[in-house]
Formats: sequence, structure tokens, C-alpha cells
Amino acid sequence: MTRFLPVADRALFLRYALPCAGTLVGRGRVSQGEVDRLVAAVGAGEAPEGAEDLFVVARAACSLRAIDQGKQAVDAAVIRCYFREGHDAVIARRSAEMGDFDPEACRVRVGTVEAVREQVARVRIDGRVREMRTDLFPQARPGMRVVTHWDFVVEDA
Amino acid sequence: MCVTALGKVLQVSGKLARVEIAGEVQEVRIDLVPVRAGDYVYCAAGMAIEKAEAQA
Repeated sequence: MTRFLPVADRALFLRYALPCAGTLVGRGRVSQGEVDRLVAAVGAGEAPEGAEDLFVVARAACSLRAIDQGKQAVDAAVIRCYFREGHDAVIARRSAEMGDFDPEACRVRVGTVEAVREQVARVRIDGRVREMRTDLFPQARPGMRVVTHWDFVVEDA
Repeated sequence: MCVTALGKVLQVSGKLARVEIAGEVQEVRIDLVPVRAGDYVYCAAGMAIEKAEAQA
């Protein structure tokens, strides 16, 4: 049995991990309908029981980061540390292993919200404006510095 | 399980193992999955994720 550490901040973990779910849909691991339900739930502040089990690699990477920091659980600091600093190197390896997604599209980036309309934010990242979904972080507002993952705003930076 | 890299553990040294995956030997962290030489393990991005049943 895999000794994953418990995820102490499940809602935050899911906000960071869910943007990768499109890849899991493509592999048949989960349905698009289930992903849509999870996105809606997490955006509403919920953390559906067991949802973190979908993200095996992220859970493993976060668990190892927590272990390296001498912690007994994956807390908010570990989650942010992994996704903001370690995620891109892990997904570069995963892309090489699996060959079914573009690691550039999956990168975690920080940008500035320029506008929000309905559930879409225009976010300036590295000089380029990208459209990002705000389903997971409906609090996004113009002027806010935010963390983005794939095509979602995840939280304020 | 979404990982596909099944490897054979060649050697264990502390929290690391040398695992043969598709003819290539990789160094893999085994903190989450205690294994011994001869075991088979599913790996992803340099991490052992799940121990596999013995392969024929």
C-alpha cells in the first residue's frame, strides 16, 4: 500500500491539482462530467471526499516534499511549495514518460488579472494576455496577482 | 492508476532504489512504497507510486 501522507488542506490541493484533470480524462481515468462536478464543488469552497485520490502523481510529489520538510501531512505550505516550485519539473518528466500532453500548457505561472467577465479572466503572464477560467477562484479581480495552472486561475499570489 | 512505467527493483539504498524501466535504469525514491530488490513497482517522474504483483 502506498504511504501517501494525509492532505491537510484538501480544498487548496484540489484547486491546484484539478487543472491537470483534462489529461486524466484523456486517459480514461475520470469522466469530463465528474471533472466538471469537482470544479464546481471546489469553486464553491467544497472539498469532495476522496477527490485528491485522482491525482496520484501530485499526491506523491507533495508527500515527498512534506517528508523532506520533516512534516507528517501535506499542508498548505507544502502544496504551494510543490506546485509553485516543483510541479513544472515533474510534469516535464511526466510529459516525456506519457507523451500525451503539452508541458508548456500545464505550467504553473503567476500573472496579473486585467479584466474579468463572467467566468473568464484575462491575465497578463510574461507579457502575454491569456484567458483563464475563474471557476476555481471566483474571487479573481482586476489588478490582482494570481497563480494560474493550465487555463485556470488557482488563487491570489 | 494512471502511471504506466512498470519497473523491476535492482537495488535499494536507503530511500532510493535503482529500478529498471523499459531497459533503462533510473534512480527512484521509495519513501512511499517500501520495496526490496526483485520487487516490481509502478513509477512516475522518479517516484515509486505502487508496488506491483510479481511478474512472470
